Amino acid sequence: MEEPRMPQVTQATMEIAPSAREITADLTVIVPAFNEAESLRDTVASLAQQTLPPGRVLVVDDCSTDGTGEVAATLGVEVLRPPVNTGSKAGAQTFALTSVRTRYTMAIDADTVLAPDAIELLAAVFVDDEVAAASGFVLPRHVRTVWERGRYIEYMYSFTFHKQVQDYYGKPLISSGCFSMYRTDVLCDVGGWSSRTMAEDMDLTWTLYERGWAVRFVPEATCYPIEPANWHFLGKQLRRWSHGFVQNVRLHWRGLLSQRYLRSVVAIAFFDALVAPVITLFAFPLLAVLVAPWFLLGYIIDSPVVAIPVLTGARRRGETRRAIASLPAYFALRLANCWFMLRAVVAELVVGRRLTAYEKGH
Amino acid sequence: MSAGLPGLGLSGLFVLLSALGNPIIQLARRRRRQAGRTRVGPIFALSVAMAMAIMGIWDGLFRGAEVLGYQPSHHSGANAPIPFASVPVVLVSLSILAAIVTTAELALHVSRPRTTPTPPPLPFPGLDRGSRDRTTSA
Repeated sequence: MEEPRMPQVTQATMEIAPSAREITADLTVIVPAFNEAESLRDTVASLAQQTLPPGRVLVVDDCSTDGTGEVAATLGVEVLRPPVNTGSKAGAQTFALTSVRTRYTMAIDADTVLAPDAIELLAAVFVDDEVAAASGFVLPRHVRTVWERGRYIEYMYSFTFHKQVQDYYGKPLISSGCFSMYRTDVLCDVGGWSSRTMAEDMDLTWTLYERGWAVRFVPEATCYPIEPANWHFLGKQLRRWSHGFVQNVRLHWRGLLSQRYLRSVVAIAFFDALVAPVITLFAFPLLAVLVAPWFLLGYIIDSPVVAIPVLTGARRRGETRRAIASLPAYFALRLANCWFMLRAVVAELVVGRRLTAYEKGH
Repeated sequence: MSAGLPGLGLSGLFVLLSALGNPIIQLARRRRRQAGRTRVGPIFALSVAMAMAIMGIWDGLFRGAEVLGYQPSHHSGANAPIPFASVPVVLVSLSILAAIVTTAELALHVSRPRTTPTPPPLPFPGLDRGSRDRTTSA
């Protein structure tokens, strides 16, 4: 097992470090919004209800056609509107970044609401001078359809177990784009959020690692985005994420080589991306037909293992019944993940057809 | 087939092994006075429960197969051989995992690491600052 290097809060940094209250007072929240008139009100309200509210809130109305800008203006926040649609969330956020004057910047999606103490908890890790970015626990706001239920389990599993282990080793794989906080000067130094891949949050996180910064995961800071409720929007989101992963591996692999632990995590995840779809979509059905139908058990055989962290996390939140009811949907979502990952690998690595058009996933 | 079970993938197995290694890492950190306040107990307990679940599933699977006459074998659990070769499943999974990690390590020596180029910096008048690239300023 590789020995990780963890950033430490030294006595020297503690003495000059600002408190969470000072950090949030020196914080600008950027809310990129393209046709988000329906959900924006809840997002802004959740920012206003924070135990430590941010100093400034900037809504980027990315040339919406549904009156998002007008809605934002009635909510008492600053509204920025680029001359033309920036084409992506990354573009809208970077457009707003040039107007930020505070030491800290937060980006949250316009469909995301925060738990009342989320910003305070996230800000607290910035007392460590080596931390450039931090993100929190993500859970779907609505858990109704099969895809939302699947996502609920996926997030509960990943954020209760995977991400916490990665954080222990000092290398969370991604600082989630829907709710993350950054040091503004570091963010500006790397040019803000880049549109060169379909997963700007992964691109930024890996860039920060390459430049020697620490990224933290704060499980107590919770946010609730709206997840795709139907196949149409789920497909758009998964297409973007899977292409984004492959694009980021291609872009960053040389830079990641110097990152202990992370290089192993990414190499294994990439292997899984290549192999798991083939096994899941082709090998299991073929073996079930040619050898024995018991091979179909492969689709759900790990359910007790997945259930352990999921039920542990759900129990803490008083959502045990919701988790049990949602567990079967996770296996349907996993099949969808495999399908879109297979398509992304073929398109990006075999056919050479890059995904460049950003499409919203809900 | 993976000893970490098919759905979990090798990523799941790697994270599980990482979590199982936490107490050892924590001890090493304590010796160097770098342990911090991180609590490793809850995640370690989760990982032990998950590892036991994996072993239990494999055991139950092969016992069930034996009962149904599909897999007559003297072995059971993760040590049971895969259907087409007399190699334990756990050995296959760990070998693949080791091969991937070793490849990543070898790539470090064969190919020179290089920081990924980024777009030009944006102006930020909020702070008077020098270079914030810790790799060069350190």
